[in-house]
Amino acid sequence: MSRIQARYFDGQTSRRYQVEIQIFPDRTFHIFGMDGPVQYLVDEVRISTRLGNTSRSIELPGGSRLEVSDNDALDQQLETYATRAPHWLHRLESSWHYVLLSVISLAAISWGFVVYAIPAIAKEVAFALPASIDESIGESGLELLDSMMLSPTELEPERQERMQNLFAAVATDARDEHELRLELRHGGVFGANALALPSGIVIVTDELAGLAVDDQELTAVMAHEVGHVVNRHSLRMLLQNSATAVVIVAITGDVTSLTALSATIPTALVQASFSRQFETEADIYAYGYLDQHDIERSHFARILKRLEDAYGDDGPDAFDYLSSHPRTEDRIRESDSGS
Amino acid sequence: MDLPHQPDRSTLGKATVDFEFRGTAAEYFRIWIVNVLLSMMTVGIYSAWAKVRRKKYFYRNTLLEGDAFDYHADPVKILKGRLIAVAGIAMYVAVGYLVPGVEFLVLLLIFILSPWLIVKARMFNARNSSYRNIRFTFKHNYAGAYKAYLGLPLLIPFTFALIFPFVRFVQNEFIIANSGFGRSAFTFQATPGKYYRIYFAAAGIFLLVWILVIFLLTGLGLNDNGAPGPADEPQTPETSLLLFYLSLIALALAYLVPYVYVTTQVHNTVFGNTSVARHRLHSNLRVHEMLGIYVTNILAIIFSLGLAIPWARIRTTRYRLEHLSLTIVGTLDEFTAAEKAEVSATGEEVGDFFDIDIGI
Repeated sequence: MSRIQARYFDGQTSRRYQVEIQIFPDRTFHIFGMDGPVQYLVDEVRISTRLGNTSRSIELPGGSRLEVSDNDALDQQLETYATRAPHWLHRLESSWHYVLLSVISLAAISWGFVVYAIPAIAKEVAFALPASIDESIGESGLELLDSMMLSPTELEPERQERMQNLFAAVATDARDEHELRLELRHGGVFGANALALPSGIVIVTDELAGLAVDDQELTAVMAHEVGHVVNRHSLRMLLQNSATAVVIVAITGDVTSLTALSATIPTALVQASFSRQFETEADIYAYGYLDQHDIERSHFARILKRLEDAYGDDGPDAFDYLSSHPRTEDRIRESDSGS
Repeated sequence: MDLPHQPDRSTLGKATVDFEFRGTAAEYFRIWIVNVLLSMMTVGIYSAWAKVRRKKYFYRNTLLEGDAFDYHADPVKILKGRLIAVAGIAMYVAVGYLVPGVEFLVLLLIFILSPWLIVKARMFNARNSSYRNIRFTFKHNYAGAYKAYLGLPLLIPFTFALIFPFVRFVQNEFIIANSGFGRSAFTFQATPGKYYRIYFAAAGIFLLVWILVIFLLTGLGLNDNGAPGPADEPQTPETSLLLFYLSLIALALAYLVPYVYVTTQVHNTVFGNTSVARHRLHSNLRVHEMLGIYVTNILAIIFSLGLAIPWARIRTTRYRLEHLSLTIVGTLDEFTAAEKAEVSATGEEVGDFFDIDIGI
């Protein structure tokens, strides 16, 4: 073993002294090149653990300090004469095998957490909260939609009443805390569409009513929308999205920089997958209602098919993961399997 | 004691030396992934140790005249600070839930405390940073902090934001002029005029990019007011979707370009006007190069689902440090240590949590 180059700083001034150090078999630590011979026991000096290939510090009693760049030589002397093995963190960090293992477990943990744990927790939390919370989320939703894109319905009064009656049947069946209500609107740019606001208001556009050939089809669509309300989808979405954002921020560390913020963009993919799960859940609710009332499941499939023909599918297959709705083809197939 | 390898400089000779950064993406990636994994497995408790390890890695890889900087914070103190911050957030949520409408009082309290937090955070960070075994310092100038971070910003709405560049100047001056290395204080020589030039130029760039964007989009067919143009033909859904994405990208650029311009120029101004003892710093980052780094970082992080974060951090830090230099008059051997005092991490971590950005 030979001497190792080191830089000595006394802690009082910023002057640098070039010295040499060596650890001896009797567990003594020697510094050469100072005014006189200097010697400590290895256990008296604090040698910092290795971090990448950065210079390591050796803190001496009294506040002075050495810096050593030759990490391998220092490690060798420490292991041979002071029986100190390299720190476990450095062993983890220097092996690509462990790193690969880390990447895989990290991916698995994040995936499991975001895809299974968060939705499950959000569901529990959402169902534990009173329905009045949903009302506060979607309080001004209808006014906002009315002022931005919807206009009053142009359907005949008799048709309106018929639809209200269809809805009343679905709503009574739901036995839900929410105040379920049907609002009819002319869709305009919104087209043939139906949506549920968290407070329990279900909006059906004239265009959608026009697309339906019979009452059963409208019932199926309304049951689907009520399924969103009953299953607390708005609240769960809100909880899931904020929890996912918190997890991502926790993983990546600093959020202050613009670059780190871009790491949250992939969450958009996760959110889209959340919303597809909710569509499927609402579909299941609708099928449940149809089955109970001896309505063919195919009614739902037929109106979905007609919607697809009128407006096109969500897009080519490659975009499947980006879309917020399950593909119509899949939904129709689902309806066949149960009936 | 002898001093080999020391550059031979007469007592008042001048020499400009570059900062050096030795961190590599391959090495930092491994440290980062272990940090992330351990933080997750310990439900965030390890994150305090992870932060110290990350800062140590960057500090120790930053060299000036062959000697590295170092970071010394005790992770346990940082953990305590984080727990206090989390308790504070829990209290805020609980108050909002139990007595609705009172949350704003808690926010007001945080707002009033923020200058104090900034000073605490700076002190903690400075005292735990060292070069050549001499610690950095930060003065507990609370009056200055309240002026720079609470008093002056309150005037922004009353001056149609015209005071904003001046506020940034005062804030930067506050941070630099209260910092020190050992017993030597930092001095700040920039003027408010420089800040006004930067912000007016940024406003000009913003307008220019906007005009360019609108010009390009109308040229491409977003013209819908009947004026002659390609838009007279009915649009297919594909082209309108393409236009939608194009305008999103253009919009992002319209904000990103002035943002990068301001941060880069302010960075150059701050570091180009800072001196410690007789030695003066210089920074010459280029806006277009910084813009390139930002855009490629963002794209790499998105398409790697976050795995490129370590690479992005390393190359950004390398670029910044390789464009930073110090003009040394005489030698760097004459700094002396200040007396020691301990500061708790509460300020720093609570500040981190409530996202108080000091803007340097």
